[in-house]
Amino acid sequence: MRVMPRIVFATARAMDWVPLGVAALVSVLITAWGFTGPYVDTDLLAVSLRSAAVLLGAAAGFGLTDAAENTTAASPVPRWMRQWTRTLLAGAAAAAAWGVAYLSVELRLPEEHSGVFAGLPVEAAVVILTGLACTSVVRRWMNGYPAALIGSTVLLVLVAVSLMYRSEFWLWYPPSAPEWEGLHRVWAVLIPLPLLMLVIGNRENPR
Amino acid sequence: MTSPAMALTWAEIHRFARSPLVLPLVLVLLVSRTLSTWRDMTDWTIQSVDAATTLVLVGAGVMLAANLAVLRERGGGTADLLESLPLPAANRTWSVLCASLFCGAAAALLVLSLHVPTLLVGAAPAGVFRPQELAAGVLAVMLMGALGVALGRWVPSPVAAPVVLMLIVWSLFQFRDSWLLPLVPTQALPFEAARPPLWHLLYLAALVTAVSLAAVMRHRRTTGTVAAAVAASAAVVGAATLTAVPSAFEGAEPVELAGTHEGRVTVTAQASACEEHDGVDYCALPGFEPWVPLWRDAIGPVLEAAPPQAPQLEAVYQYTGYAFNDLEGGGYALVGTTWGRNGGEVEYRRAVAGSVAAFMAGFPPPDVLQSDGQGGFGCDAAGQARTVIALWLLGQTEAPVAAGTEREHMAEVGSDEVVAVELPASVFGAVSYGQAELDMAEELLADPNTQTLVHQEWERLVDVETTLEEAADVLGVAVPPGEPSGAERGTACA
Repeated sequence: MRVMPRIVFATARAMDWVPLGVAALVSVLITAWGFTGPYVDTDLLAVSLRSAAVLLGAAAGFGLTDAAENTTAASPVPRWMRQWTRTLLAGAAAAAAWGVAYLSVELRLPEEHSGVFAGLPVEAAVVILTGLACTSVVRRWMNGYPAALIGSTVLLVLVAVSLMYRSEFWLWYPPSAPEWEGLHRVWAVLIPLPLLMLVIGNRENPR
Repeated sequence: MTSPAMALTWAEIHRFARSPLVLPLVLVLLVSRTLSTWRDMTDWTIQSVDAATTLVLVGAGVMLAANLAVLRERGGGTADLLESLPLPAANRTWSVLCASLFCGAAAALLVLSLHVPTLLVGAAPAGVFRPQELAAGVLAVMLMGALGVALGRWVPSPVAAPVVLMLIVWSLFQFRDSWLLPLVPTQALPFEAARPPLWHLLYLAALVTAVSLAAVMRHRRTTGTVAAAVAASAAVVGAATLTAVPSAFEGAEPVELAGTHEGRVTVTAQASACEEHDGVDYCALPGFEPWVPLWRDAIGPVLEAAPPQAPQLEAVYQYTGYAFNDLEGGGYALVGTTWGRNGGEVEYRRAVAGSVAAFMAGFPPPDVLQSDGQGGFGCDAAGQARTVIALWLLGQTEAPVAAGTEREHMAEVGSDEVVAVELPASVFGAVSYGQAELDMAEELLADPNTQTLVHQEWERLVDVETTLEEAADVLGVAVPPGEPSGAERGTACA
């Protein structure tokens, strides 16, 4: 366990933080856009916060690619530990970036709308975890940015397909919909799925 | 094009065809679109726009694949190797560009040519089929392909394409009415002010050209390319102006509709828009005339089963928005701008037949039910004979189902507070009933003598005071054991 801090610091230095940095910047910008109009539209703000989560989830996947994998594979630290370290670091950074965007919205929200986005962090957590999970599974077959790009695309496909199926359990109801209140219970139920995918994606390589 | 360039273009096309980002997305889109629209009745006006908008998913794949194809050159140690190739960087850009434009268009056309025919299965399509909208979808996919190449050349980072992609998707929501976007997802109704797709197509084509030239100009800035790029940019600006100026909008004039209330409600009651069948006016919004037979088919059996002394249904109005505010009293049924097909129509048929049955059996109209009476919103009709009669009438069209509840957000009288209230919800409006009524209606539906008895005893059966037990006596059936009726679950229906 004494090696853990060292692994964390070394991994943090080795990770490609540019995608997450750009995504964080864009997230803050698009959520700030919602306050430029004559009035605050909570439905559009929800779209921005959700887009930010998808973007950060996709960007977090870039943190899972390891340019030096062939070298690190020979080290005594097992793959699952290396990949989980990357997952936790990238996930925490993405969550922090989304949190900044979320707080910047919450603090500027007019009083009559306060608390309307209280359930959104659950949604963002699921989306960011799913982004990480998609890339982590794709990583079993390939490495480098193609892996992260394909992982991002899988996330995009999941979002697009879930957008198309409007039903009782539609995940993307806007705050103005009556389903909004119960919606985040549905999201909370989904949390184990990306975690399971991560367990599969981050496990030891058979080779 | 020289033959090495041709060979390279072919090689790139082959790579696109094998890319995990292109064909799998075509398949995903095709399957999910077809399944998600399978049970909705086709309205071409909306489906043309939706089919084009959802092509963004294929566009995303093409964009990322094109971006990867350009970024491939930046892999470790490739730069030196590329120096010895017969084609300079600008020609390689052309090859990827041609391949991405070709594959983008092919992928989009593949989706459309397989998906659009499925919209005709079991359908009586309403609305106006607009091929221009579909063409805009194809051009948008090509634009995204060109954008992928241009980004790879000017911002050679793998992050650029996903970020721009997300911005495109976000702006489709954020600026949904802006015609400067490649696609405009706003779902118009057939009779609303026209969309300007022809100018918009020109705008898109100019954008594709300008972005393509921008990609090539990273490595080749000859007078020809620069002049072409300037011309394309001018075309973009010109077409954008024509697209965004409302006077350039072409197509049908917006239709004046009777019953429009502060711009929120649109109900057709124009004599010219109504067709009379068996004494009932069926008033369809313009473009929805093909659905009149579907509505007649749902309402007809109820009208046939009802006795002559029952209240007469005068009209069936199609509406958009909140129609309740405008239409007072009864005598009409409302249908919306959606319907089902391939099994999805059952609920729509049940809803409209249920509203007619409720009207005939004397239930209060929806606008009364949704306002706060003495004991809250909605009412309970359990234990009343007319409930069974209404269910029996409804059963002529579709099997009745249990009543449920619905959360509604409502403004409190005399204040701005919006409260969420639990309303009973059934095919009769904000009316609840129990299993006993359903069971009894089922028994009546199985009995061929019911109609004669109902016709004879109609006045008594639809009286508010008549109980289930009395109705059972008259109709010669047993009262099924059920939960206690009436008052315990809310105000009894008056």
